[in-house]
Amino acid sequence: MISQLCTKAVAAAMAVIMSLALTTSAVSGDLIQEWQYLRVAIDGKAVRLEAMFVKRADARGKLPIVFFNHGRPAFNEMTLDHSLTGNDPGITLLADMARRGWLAVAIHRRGFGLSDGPMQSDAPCAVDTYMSWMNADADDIQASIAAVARRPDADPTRMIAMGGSAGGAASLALGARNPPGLMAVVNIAGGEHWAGCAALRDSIPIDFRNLGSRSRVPNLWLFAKNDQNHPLDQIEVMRAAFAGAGADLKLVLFEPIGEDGHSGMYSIAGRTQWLVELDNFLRAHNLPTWPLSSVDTALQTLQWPQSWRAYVQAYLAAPGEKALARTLNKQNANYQTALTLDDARKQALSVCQQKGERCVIVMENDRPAGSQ
Amino acid sequence: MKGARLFFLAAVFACGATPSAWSDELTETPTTFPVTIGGTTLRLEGFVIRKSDARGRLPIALLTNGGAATATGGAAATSAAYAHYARDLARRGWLAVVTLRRGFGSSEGPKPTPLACQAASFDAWATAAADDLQATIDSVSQRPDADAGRVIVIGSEIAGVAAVALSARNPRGLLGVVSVSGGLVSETSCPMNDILVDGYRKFGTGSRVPNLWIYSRSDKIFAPDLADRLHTAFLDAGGDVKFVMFFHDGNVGTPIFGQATAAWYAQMDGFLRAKNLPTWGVADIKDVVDRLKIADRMERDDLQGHLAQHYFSSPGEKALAFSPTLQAAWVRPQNKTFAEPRPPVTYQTGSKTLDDARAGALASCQKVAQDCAIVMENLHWVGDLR
Repeated sequence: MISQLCTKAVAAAMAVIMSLALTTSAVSGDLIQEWQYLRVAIDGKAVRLEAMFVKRADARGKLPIVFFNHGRPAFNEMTLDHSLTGNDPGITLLADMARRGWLAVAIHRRGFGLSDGPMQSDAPCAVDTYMSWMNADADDIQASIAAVARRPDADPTRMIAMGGSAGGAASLALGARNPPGLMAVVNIAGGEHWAGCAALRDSIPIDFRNLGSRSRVPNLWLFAKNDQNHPLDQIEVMRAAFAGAGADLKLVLFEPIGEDGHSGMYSIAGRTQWLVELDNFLRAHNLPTWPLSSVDTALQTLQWPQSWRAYVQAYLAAPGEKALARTLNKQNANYQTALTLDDARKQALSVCQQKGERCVIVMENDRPAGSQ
Repeated sequence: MKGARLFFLAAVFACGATPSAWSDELTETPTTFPVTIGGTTLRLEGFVIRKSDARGRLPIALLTNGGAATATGGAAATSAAYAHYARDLARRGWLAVVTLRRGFGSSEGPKPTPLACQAASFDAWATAAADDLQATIDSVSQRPDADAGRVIVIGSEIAGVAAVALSARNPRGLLGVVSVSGGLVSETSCPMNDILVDGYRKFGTGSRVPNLWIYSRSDKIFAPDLADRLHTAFLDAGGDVKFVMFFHDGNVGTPIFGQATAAWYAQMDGFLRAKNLPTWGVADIKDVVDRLKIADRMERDDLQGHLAQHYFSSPGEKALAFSPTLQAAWVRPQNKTFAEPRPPVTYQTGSKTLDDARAGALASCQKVAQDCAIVMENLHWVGDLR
C-alpha cells in the first residue's frame, strides 16, 4: 500500500523536539498536568481521545480554555508515536499558555497516540482533499469541546483554538464553524501542504475563500518567511482569499527562523518572537494573558530602576521554562529558556557569570525565585 | 554484525522432529501443552517460537486459532497456520506461543458444539475459551524462558472474543489484548448480536486490561454497527479499549488478520510501544538510517517515514535492499513544497521464504541501479556496505 499522505507537517520539528523531550515530560511545580481519556461522540458514535490538561496550580474557578492542536507527521504510522508532551505541541508550549491563565488542553485526534483510530483524514490527492482533512480534524476538536466543557475548572464561554502546521489548519476549520464560546483562532504556520500534490495549487484559494467567508472569529496567523511548507507567495494567496472573503485576520510574518521556518516556529527563537505577537493579540481582544502591570511589580521586587523596564518586559514575555540570573550588584543579568527549569537556571547562571561576577537566580518563569 | 547473524542455536523439537529454522535467528518448538482445566488434565496442540539468541525470560505473546465466525468453524485449524504470525512476534522480542483450543487439531477435549442464541450458551463458550487460554498461559509460564508477568493475547474473529473474555478476568500478568475482527455468530443464523453485546458489557464490567480492537468498515459479518455496539457496551461498563475502525488501509472486510496484516501490525506495534512492551521502535528506524550513513535532514526524515510505513510493520519474511547510486541520484530541492526525496531502498515483505524476500528486494533495486545490496533481513541489520 503506497499511500504517501505526506503533509510533511511538523515532522521536522517533531524529530528535533522529540529527541530532546524524551528526558522530560514533567512541568514545574507552579503548574498542574493531568492526562486523561475523553469520551466523546462523533457522528453519534463513541470515540475515546487522549487528552492532556495543563493549568496553574494556583488557578481558582473556571478558566478560559485554549485548545492546542498538534500537526501531522509525514507518514501515517508515525502518528501512533506522537506525544502531546514530548513533541507537539510539547509540554513547554502548553505551559506557556497555562501560565498566561488558560486551561491548556491538547487532545490526540483520532489515529494519534492511544486515541481511537485510524486517522480519519487520509483521502488521496485531489482538489477537495485538504479541506476534507481539515474538517475531519476539526470534528475531533469540536467533539472534545463538549467533554472539556463539563470540567468544573473550564469556562466554555471563553475558548480559543490554536495549533501549529496541520493543527493550525484544523483550528482554522474549527473557527470557520464559529462554535459558541470560541473567541479567536491562532494559526502557527498552518495551511495546506502536501509534498507532490499539485492539486493544492488550485484548492488553496478555493478553500481559504470558503473558510474566510464563514469565519466570524478574530484570526492571528504567524509565519516565518522561510517556511519550507508554505512559501511566501502561498501565504499571500491564503491571506488574500481568507481576508478577502471577509474574515478578521491579522497576519504576522517573521524574518527567517533557522533552516526551515516551518519547524523553526516551535524552536525557542521562534516561540520568543511569536509569543510577543500573541500577547498583543490577546490583549487587543480582551483575552487573558500576563498583565503588563507585572513589569512594574517585577521591577519593584527586583529593586531595579525603570531603565531595566524593557528587559524585564521581554523576560516576562519569553517562553518557558525560563530563569533570570543577575549579578549581586544588579548591574548585569541574563535569562535563558530551556526544556526544564533546572537547565534554564544553569544556563542563565553560566552566561551571567561569564564576566567573572557571581550571579544568583532572581526570577523563575513568572515568579520571583524561591516563591514557588 | 554478519557473525552475529549467522550465530544461531540448533532448534530443539519436543516431538523429535527434524530440527529446522525458518529464519536464521528463530527457534521453533512444536509443543503439546499439558493443561488442567476444571480438574481435567489434557494436552493442547501448539508451538513456541523465540529468538534463538535471546537471553533471560521473554514476555509471552499468545495466539489462538480464530479466523472463523462460529464456535465450530475452522475445524481444520492447525497451529502451523499461525507460524508466520508467531515468527513476526518472536522477532519483536516475544516468546510467541500458538495454542489450539480444546477439540481443535490434535488438542484433546470435547469438539466445540454449535451455539444456541441464549446468554447461557454464549457464556459457557466464552468461559471455556478463556479457560483454554488461561491454562496455556499457566503451562507456558513454567518454562524457564517465560516471563509470566508480561503476557499479551491476540486473536481474530471468534478468537478475538476469547481474548476479550480472558481480559475480563484480569489474570495476573496480562498486559494487553489485541482483538482483530472480534465477533461471533451462531451456526444456525439465530440472532446473536444482542447476546454478544450483553456479553461484552459483562466483560467490560470486570476487565481492566488495555484492549486494542480492530475492525473494518466493509466487514459484512461483524458490521460497523455491531462493532460500535460492542465498543460502547464495553466502554460504558468500564472497560479500557482503543478502538480502530479501518476505512481505507486495512478495509478488507472480515479477514483483516490474514489479508491486511501490515495494517493491524502497525496498530499493534503502536499500542505495544505506548504500553512499553517489546516491538520495534523509532530508535530502530533511526539506527538503520544512521547505518546507511544518510546525513541530510530531509532525506533522513523521508527515509524514516518510508521505513515505518512500508517495512518495519510489514509481515515477514522480508528483506530491504539499499543502493548508494539511488541515494546519490536525489538532489535536495530549494524548498520541499513539490519535491520529495526518492527512497534509496527497495524491499519485499510477506514472502514465503527469506530467500524469496531477498531476491525480490534485490530485483526491484537492480531495475534502476547496479550497486544494490541487502541490508536488512526481517528486523535484523545485515548490511556491511561501508
